[in-house]
Amino acid sequence: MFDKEYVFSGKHADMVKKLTAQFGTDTNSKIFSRNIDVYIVAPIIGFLYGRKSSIDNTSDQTTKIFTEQLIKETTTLKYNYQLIMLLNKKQLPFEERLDKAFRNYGNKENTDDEETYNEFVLGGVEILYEKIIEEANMSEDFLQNIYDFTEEFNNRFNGSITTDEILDLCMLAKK
Amino acid sequence: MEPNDKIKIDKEKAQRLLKKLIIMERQNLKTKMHNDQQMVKLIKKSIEEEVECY
Amino acid sequence: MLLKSIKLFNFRQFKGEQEASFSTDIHKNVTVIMGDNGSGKTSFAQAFTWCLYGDTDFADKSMLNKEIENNLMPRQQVSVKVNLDLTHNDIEYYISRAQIYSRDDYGKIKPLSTSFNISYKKNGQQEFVKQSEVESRIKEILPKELSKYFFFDGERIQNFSKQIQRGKSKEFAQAVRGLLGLNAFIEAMEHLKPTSKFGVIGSYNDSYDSSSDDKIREYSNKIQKYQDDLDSIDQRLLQINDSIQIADEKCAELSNKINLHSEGERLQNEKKSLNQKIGKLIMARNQAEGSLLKVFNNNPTAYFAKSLIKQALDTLSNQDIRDKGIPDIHERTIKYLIDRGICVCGTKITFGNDAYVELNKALEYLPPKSIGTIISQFVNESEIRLKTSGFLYEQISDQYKIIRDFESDIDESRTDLSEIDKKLTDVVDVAPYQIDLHKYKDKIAELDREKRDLYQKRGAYLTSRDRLITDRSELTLRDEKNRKIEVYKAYAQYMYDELYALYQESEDKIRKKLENYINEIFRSIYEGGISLKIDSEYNIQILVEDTDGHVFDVEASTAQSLSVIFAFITGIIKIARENNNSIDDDSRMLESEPYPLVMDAPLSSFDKTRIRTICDTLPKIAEQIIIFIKDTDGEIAEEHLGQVVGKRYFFDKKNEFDTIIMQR
Repeated sequence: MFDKEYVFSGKHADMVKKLTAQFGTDTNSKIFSRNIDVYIVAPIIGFLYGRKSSIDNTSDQTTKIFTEQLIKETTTLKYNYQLIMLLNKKQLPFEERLDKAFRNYGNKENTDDEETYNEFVLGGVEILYEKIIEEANMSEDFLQNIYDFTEEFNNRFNGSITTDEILDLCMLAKK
Repeated sequence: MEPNDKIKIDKEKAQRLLKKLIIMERQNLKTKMHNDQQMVKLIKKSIEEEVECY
Repeated sequence: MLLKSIKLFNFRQFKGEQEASFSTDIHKNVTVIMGDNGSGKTSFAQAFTWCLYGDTDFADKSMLNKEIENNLMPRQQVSVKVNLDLTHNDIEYYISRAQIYSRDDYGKIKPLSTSFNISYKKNGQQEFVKQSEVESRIKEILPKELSKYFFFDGERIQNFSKQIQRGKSKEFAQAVRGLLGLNAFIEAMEHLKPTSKFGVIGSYNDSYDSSSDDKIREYSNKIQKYQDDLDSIDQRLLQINDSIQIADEKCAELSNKINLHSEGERLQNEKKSLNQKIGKLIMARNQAEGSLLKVFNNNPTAYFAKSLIKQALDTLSNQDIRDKGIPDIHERTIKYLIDRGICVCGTKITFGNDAYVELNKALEYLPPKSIGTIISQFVNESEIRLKTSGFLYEQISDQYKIIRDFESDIDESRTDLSEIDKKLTDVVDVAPYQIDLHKYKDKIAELDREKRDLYQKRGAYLTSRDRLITDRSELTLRDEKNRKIEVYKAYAQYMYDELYALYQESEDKIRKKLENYINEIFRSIYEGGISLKIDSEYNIQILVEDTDGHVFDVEASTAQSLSVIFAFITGIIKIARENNNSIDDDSRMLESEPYPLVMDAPLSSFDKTRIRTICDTLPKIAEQIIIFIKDTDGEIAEEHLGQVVGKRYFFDKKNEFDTIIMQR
């Protein structure tokens, strides 16, 4: 995984292009700097919001992420993958999820898991596009939406967690 | 004005001259007989005449 | 001066030969000429002006009747003439002006020669005034500056009223003085003037020269030179004062404008600093935006995954992970055994046999591949991520607020800016006014300096001159002949001084009288809180008295202007008439003659009551009245003037180019 070129296609390509487009006078005025930045965050978002989406072939649009970039970010990508596999579908017994996350990582026969992961990626792209871009067309509004999205996210998911709590948990888990 | 305190003027004579002058001027305005130069000559003459008289 | 008759030849609308004679009867002294607009009343009035002075107010300077002009063949010539008969100072004058026109080879009408003659009857003979003297004779009969008031064009009132109210024309003042009968005085003073080389006294000074005493002649020359210098200094001082006055007025005008618009400068400055402020704010805002985006893009996963990480760690710490591994055995151990080929239990290990397969399987569960290890790795990774996740939300929140603050500042400043712009559109740039103001102030300073210099010089010259005069006088007294000259001079000087004082007194009196008459006449036409003042240069001020008795200057309306001029002229005419008829010795020193009044259509500007007043006043004031009226005013005129009308004409307009003067 994460060792070859990745291609967004169809409506997702369009969305990713818009998420990485320059919206202001400054060349740095972009919501996401590069396609890979979207790719890194998207699965987390998709998983948290419970949105999966399949590859869209309704248009010829594509936009890609180069292999070198993916390879550079392998650590993060792998981590996110493991995180999701670990927590995905609580109906699955813990053992299985452990396997999916840790043991089976990198197995070429893992197409199901890979597909699941990818569906979360595309779902996450959709969420990001809907929340940040769709309601806006001026840079002020993008900023507003980034802020709103972050606030909503914070309230919904991160509100009751402090970093210290989690660090304590880390200690626990190490034993 | 020129100082003329060494010279005495008979005021009556002067007034007579004045009246004569005005009449002369008026007349001349009508008839245009004399130009400025001639008028000046006439005035001088009447002054001198008056002065010499008793 | 009385008009007797006028004859027109091809003059403007009056084709061919046309004439009118004017009533000179003492009682029935009014001549009425009736005609509609466009029938030629103005042209007729202008005929007088053209005849006497050679020009008119018309834009089209061609006097030639258009019909005649159209029918003119190339090389053909035709003459336009106006003959005016009048009496002045008991002399009957015939004034004739003619202009020849011809059509050239290119079809254009060109004016050729012009002739102007004045002749008069003397001892039964007709004599001509010398060509070199016609101009001055006309000036004496009726100076052009005043002609506009006697040939009264009611429709060009505004200009005239301005002239009368603000006239700085010396010639005008002179002309008025002449009309008021002060001419003899003026002439006499001119002749006696001590400072004039050609006057009586000057002439006496010259006659010192005929004496054998060179020294006296020398003195006389020097004195005259000083006198000349003093004269030119005085002249220049007058000029300077005029210039200073004009410049002062300009400065006041400009200062006013600048004050009115100095707002503009202040506003421009404000605008500039606001623009700068906005620029800076925009930059700051963009920077803040950049920061926000940077934060958002800088490892956002850790932040977004926080809750997941927690859950994962939760799960991992709660679950019992059964490590399928064998305690204390490492991958190294297995590899060693495989290499060795023999297991700990003694079983042979060869590639592909059961032992080999089982051992390899075990590798899955042993460090470093053991699940425990991997999970440790995972937990470490989680720790790292958490520590770097920072405060994404807080940071974004802060930056966002900062951005919004900047934006509202920018909006506020932009609103202020558009307010200023709105104000600026009303305001005019004062920079050019200020530049001009400086120029004028500099000019004034310069003129003042010159003035001071001149005054100094003047003082010096006066002292020198007077000293020389005293010296000369002493010398001359020694000589019998020269002594006599001194005596003559003394008389001349005395006469001059007396005349001067008398003149001042008379002029004052006359002017006051004129002012009173004018106010009388004006009030009878125009009642109500308005009075007129005349100053020493015969400028008229219209003053309005408000209910508190305050008096202030006022811009005249058309009817008021008309009334002012009318009052002015009638005032002058009245005085002139009085002087003429006076038996009183004093007044006879002021002699002038009456003038006629030629009025072009004034009635249209007045309301009915005023018309009546005017019609009542007129005939009593002027010796002779020639009045042009519109058909529509005819009845009124007839009603009020009927008794005193001696002659009646009307202009029969045949067509655009042809009007006939008909007697009624």
